Amino acid sequence: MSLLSLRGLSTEFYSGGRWLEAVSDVSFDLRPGEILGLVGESGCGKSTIAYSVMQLLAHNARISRGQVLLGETDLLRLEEADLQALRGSRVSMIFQNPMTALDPLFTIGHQLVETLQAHLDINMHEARRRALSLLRQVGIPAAEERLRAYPHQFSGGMSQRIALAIAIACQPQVLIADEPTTALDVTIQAQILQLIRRLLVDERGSGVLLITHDLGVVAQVCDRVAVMYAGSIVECGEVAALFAAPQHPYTQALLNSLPSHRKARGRLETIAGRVPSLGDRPAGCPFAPRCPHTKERCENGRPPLIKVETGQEVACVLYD
Amino acid sequence: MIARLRASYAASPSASVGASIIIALVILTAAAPLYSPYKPETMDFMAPLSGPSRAHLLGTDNFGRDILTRVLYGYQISLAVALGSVGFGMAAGVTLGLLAGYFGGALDNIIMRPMDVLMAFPAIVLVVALTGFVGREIAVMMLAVAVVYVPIFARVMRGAALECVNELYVEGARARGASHLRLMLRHILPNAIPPVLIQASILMGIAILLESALSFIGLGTQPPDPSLGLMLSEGRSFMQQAPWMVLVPGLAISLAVLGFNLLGNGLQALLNPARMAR
Amino acid sequence: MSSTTETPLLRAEGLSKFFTLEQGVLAGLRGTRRALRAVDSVSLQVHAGQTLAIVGESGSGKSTLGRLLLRLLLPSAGRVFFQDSDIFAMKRAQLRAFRRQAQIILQDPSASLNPRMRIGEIVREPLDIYREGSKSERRKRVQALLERVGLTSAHARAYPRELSGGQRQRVGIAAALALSPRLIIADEPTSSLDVSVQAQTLNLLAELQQDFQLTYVFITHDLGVVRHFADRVAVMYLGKIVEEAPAEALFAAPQHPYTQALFSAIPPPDPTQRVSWTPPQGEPPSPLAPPPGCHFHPRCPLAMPQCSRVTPPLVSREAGHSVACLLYE
Repeated sequence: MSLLSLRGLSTEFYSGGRWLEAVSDVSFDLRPGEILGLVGESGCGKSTIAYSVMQLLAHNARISRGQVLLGETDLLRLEEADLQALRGSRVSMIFQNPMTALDPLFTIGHQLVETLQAHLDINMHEARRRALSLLRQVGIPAAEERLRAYPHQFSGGMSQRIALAIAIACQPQVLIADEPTTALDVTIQAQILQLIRRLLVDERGSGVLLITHDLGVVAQVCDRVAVMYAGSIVECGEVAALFAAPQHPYTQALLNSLPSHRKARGRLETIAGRVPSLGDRPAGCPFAPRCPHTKERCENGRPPLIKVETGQEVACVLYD
Repeated sequence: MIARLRASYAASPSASVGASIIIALVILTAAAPLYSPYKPETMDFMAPLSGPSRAHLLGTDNFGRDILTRVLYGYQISLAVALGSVGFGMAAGVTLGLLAGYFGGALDNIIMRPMDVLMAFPAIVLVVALTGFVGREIAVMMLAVAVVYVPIFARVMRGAALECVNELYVEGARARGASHLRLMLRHILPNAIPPVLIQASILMGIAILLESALSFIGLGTQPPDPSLGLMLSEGRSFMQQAPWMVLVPGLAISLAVLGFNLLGNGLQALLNPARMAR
Repeated sequence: MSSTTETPLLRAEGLSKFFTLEQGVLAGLRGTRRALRAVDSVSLQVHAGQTLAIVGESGSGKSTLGRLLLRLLLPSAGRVFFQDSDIFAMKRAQLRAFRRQAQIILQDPSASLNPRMRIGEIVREPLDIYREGSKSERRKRVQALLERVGLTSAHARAYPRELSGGQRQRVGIAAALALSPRLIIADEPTSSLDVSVQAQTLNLLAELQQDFQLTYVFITHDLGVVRHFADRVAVMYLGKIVEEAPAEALFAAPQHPYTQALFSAIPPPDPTQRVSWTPPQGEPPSPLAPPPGCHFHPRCPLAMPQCSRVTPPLVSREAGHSVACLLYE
């Protein structure tokens, strides 16, 4: 049983007079009580997936195929009004910039109460009580006074805590976190990530889709991870297994190129060539032009995800 | 080339329409002596105050002068005043604004406080005063409007320069030993100029209005020279018998102002940094 | 490793930079202007051919320090010596000579290249400023520089927006190299790049250091990059250096509680090391109102009563390892 399932999702952008596929045939399941990492370099389509799920895509983007199942409901078939009722209650999202979710003109108490009352049938007094409890849960000191403060009076880390409080106000089953700690200092990043795990996963048994470019974050907080390259998932599996024995040549190269602070100096491994732009992605395996193991077969369409011995799923003809 | 034009049109139809109007006006006006059968001061005594006809497409005035011809020549004066005043105003305003924005501090105050004072005078009063005192030649009109424009350009330029001064590429060039002059001319000016150009386009339209207004109240172009404002003023007395005498120059003024405003609004979309970054 | 007896290429002594913040007219009249101590009595040395990493989180003052070292800002107190001459006492001609030898690579390559200049012009600009060689010599030099950093002469005609982030950072590096400097200060040179591109850029910077005997000051928050690159590391917290040591020694045994906290906050890209991930609690205080005594004491798990009263000096302990902490007095 999974909370959120993507089935063959493809999303396109209109650019230069044609539709270009940014996300190609992506499928995965998010289960209760897990953090699924969606990792990849900029432009790989990981954030587009998040915006597709929430259906908050820009005007020049559209979902061309696939299903987004929240439990039994296909979100792509819902009317905008029904979607709005779901957003913020059953599925919530936090962003890289916490200010995206906060209105600078209202106190954070007001914003929390408003969110609570929009989705739950509770009176003002009860909403206030819950808002206060939420602020305490996300670790805002002197919560009672801070309810009357405006967003600009908080640091980046504190704002992200508040955005998280608003996101979890209605006990969502699914939280989508799009690079939630990228703009924060490392010491604050660690606190926020641990908060997400404790509040969402440990206490509520919700599922979290954590979008990040940081493999360290994935290693530390995710249960499973899907590695994306040029719009496709190339490898997916348990974090422990995938880091211990990465199977896809891209995953291997990515992990090797990390400068580690536990490893002495030396030449870093690099990946030849560069990420293909949206307009000229190869027809076959997207990584084929940069891959050290390329064969002729790699050009025959995108390889499907196949389960391999080490437990993860890999999209590579080497494992056919 | 055609592809680029098409892309610009797609990005901002308003700029393209505005630019087309202005280019058409400039060509028609500049080439008027080549194709126009009349001179602006040619009088047709047989047909004063006649309505639009084959001989006079937009009719004649009380002296039987061809209105279309006079409008075309009138545009020459309007455009010359607009171009001259915006040219002078921009040159001085951009220089002052760039210096104020780049150096800041005391120099900023020395430059900008007088600008604020100048800006506090209503434009029309200032122009009327200047032309009234100095004289009624076209050059004086140009300079008077330019004086009104200097503080406007200076302010816009200063604001844009202030934003650019803190850009990383300016700091990088400074670290490489670039002089103040190089930083201002190579790094700040080209990146700060878009809002100035937008302003310039809109002020061209306003200059045309100002010139017409001055001529209308008798402080601008003097008869018998054709000027749109003057034609309006002359036509007033004949509004009943020959409404085209005011309608045509009125619409002509509107058309030119519309062209410059469309161009200015469109430039805003075209020169927007988010688009440039792409 | 060069010996510490030779004169350092770059040396800062008691360097401070305070910014006064205007608090509006009324506060100004009442004289309650607040000073932000971005850099507070910092002393350090960099020897020729070495890499010093300055590590810290946002608000630590590391970028301000980098700009002071290049005289892009003037200090409130203290001095900086480049090969024994005080850079803040330099006259025009000397300053020009200094700028030739000390260059900067800036953080965000999309903001650090002038969007209205072509790549060739950007790389050529330092040569133009110093009137190096003839026109054709400059053109050849630009071509050689572009090729050296892994671009081609075809890129010279492009505008920055037509290049990828990694390529833009190479342009920034080529421009910094144009005058064959001895010192390069790199302010977060790879923080906005993807990991695979970051690896290419770091490899390039390492090669260039070898080829041209460059001295680097790396300003970064990324400890992976530091470990990979630095000979010495200075850790900053709220404007002060709290620990300074050879990289090996620092990574083997960080001594200051803040350094320890910082190290433990970095998520290691290794799921088997999860148990050891114990991030520090609390938020860094505002640099406008740093806590008295040791700035770290409110967050320090080992804080003692005197930590809130005494500002610990940076004291050398063993083999060039200095710590500013009362635990080690």
